[in-house]
Amino acid sequence: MAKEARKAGKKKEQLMKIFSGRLRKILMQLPVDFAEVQEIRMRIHAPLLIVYQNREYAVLEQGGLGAVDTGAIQITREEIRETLELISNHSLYAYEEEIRQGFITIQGGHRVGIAGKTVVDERFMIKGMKYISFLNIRVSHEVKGCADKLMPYLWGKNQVKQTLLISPPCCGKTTMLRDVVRQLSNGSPDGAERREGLTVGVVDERSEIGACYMGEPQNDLGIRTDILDCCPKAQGMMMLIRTMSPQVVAVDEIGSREELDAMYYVMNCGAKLIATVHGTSMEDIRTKPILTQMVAQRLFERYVILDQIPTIGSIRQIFDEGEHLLYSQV
Amino acid sequence: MEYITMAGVVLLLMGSNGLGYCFCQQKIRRRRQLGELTQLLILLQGEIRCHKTVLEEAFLILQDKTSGFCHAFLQEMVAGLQQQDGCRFVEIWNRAILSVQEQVAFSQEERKLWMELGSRIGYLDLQMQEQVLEQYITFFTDRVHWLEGQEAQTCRIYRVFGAAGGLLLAVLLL
Repeated sequence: MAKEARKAGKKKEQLMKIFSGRLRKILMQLPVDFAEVQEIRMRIHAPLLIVYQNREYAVLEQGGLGAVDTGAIQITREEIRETLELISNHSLYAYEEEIRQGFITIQGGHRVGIAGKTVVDERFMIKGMKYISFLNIRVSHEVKGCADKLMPYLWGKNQVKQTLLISPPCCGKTTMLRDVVRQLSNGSPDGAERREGLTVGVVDERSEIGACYMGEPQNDLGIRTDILDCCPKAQGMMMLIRTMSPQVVAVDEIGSREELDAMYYVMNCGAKLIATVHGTSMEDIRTKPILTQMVAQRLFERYVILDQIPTIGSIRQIFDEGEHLLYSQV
Repeated sequence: MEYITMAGVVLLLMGSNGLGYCFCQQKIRRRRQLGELTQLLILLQGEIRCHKTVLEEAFLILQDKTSGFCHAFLQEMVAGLQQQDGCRFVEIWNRAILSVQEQVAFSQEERKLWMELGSRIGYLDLQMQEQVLEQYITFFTDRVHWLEGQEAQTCRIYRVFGAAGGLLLAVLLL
């Protein structure tokens, strides 16, 4: 418990270091539980906003949280510039690809969304971004045990089920995936449902699942997990199958045709797939052109719908391959 | 009295020769250190080109591959970057240079260029990093070659002037 608390404290300090001096001082002194902070938003010449326990607050000049019109800190251009330099370790060149996609993942697995003026090439493809004036820091949290309720549904005949986690943004699907990977990797040697640990391969395209820093995962993904960091998902899945012999492959936010082909490859090679996708319901998933075929072919054996009510990461429903309801929160 | 005078002349000659030798060694040290700095920039260029390494990480890795003033400079850079006290990169860079300036024998121009490099690294894209570093590597390499060419002659001049100067002073005193 003390070790976890120390780790959480260290993570908070790491996150705070990306902010400019003035903001860092005020944020460090905020009377909030860091584990409940979801987002920190910086916009040029606008109040510093924080999403805490699912509600939006302004950070006040004299410290504390309050309404937007009650003396909130105003973000200056210099503070955005300084924060961006710290986020990129004074090396924006190293994040060209990420900036093209509109985000940078920082140490700790936190995703910083960026917006500004895009620079396009002759084919109108985004080449980069300048005058970055808007930052959205989505704070990542490792919640060990959040998949406890889900795990029994992912097993059948001593095998892991091909699983798709479905949720809208900010409902904890990456956090859930992280814990599923950890529990599959470590197994559960004790208790009524004794399970052996499995070799898990993770394709961590955005460095959010394992949050590797100089090759070391900052999040606990289990003792039998191999991570391909900052690797495109389609290529990563093929590489893992060919070289790391995973029993389970985990990927976050699938969505392209190439990724779908790679998923077929994984399944045909005998490995089990745990993936996440943006969506709100089974009906929503059936309308996605990439997934509708897989749903029709019953390739996924479990569909898990997540929600933020009553809390982020709540399991709303679980379906089997025939779309029969196995669990409902209501 | 004569013995004291002779001893004084001998000491004078030794001192002036020593001075000539010191200036010569300074030149050699300058050439060698410029070579070390050039090597550091080549390694940095490699880290950025091959691995797109961020600067703090690159400096940390290169610490183990360097020695002398380069190692001390990189140590200061890593410490400054890790502190994240809100200083701009160029400020941390200049501070690191100032911390090792007693150890280096660069000319004013070379020192100025080294400081200027701090304001150009990390700016814009990958290609820019490579080009900027290439420009400085080329300059410093040319400078090293020029110094190498001049070294023998310059050292000879320093030694001759040292000896001649000492002799002249000895004659004047006598």
